[in-house]
Amino acid sequence: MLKGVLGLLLLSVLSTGDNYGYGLVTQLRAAGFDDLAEGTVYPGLTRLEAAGLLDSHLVRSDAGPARKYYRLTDAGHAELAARRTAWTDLVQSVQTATAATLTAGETA
Amino acid sequence: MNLIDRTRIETAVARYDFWLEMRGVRGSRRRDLRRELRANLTEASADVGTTRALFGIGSPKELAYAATDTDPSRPRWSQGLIWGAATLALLVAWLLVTSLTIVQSVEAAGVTRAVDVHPFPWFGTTFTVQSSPGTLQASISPLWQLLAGPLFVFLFVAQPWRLLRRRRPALVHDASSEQSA
Repeated sequence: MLKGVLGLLLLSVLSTGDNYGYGLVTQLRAAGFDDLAEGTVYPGLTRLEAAGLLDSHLVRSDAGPARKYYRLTDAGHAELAARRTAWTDLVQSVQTATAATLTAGETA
Repeated sequence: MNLIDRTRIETAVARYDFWLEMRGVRGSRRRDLRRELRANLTEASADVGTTRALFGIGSPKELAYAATDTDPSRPRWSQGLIWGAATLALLVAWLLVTSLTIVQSVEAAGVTRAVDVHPFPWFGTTFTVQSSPGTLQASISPLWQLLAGPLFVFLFVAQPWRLLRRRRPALVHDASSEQSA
């Protein structure tokens, strides 16, 4: 996975509603990130929380110990917007570069 | 969940906690992180089985290191104690070897009066040996190295000056751990 993408994914999923560690893993796997490891997601959440982008609270669970749910803070929303813009710019730049390379290859 | 699976999860959580402690994470924060990992592992275990759940988190040590990359941690007292104790053990062993060597040398030389020795690198320490037929007296003073060495190592490893650091907003780094995903 590209540098910085996990943060964008976590912030994006959390922008749709509160969620907890393993819940986020299953949601991202369902979205197509089959190889995503829990060992990558959990520290990612911890770092985002430490950076003040996420807030957390405990919710009692019938299935076992209380789950730690995360939600976006105002700073998190702002960060998500910035990361989305950066991602869109990156995708656009890559598309432009690869299209130019492809065209040059075909004419050669 | 059966007892074996519960034990495997608790073992992983305990190893995670140990490495958090080694990283100098304070007690209340460790309790939070422990509780969160236990809850996630329990959920994952019910979903995909304990083996797969534990495989998913990878090494508890790496998980602890990744989780505390940006943590403004407290001094690493535990690591300091471990290394300080190891230094003390090393110095005591070294001292014993040095003392035995000096005693054997004095006995071999056949000197009967008291002999003062200042061996390298025990600066400022005097080894006094008096060997006469039937008696052997040996003393060492002062032994400031046995205190200063472990203390220096303890302070160097524990880094108590971390207490003086002001809490700063942590920066988000997704770099290395993400790339390995």
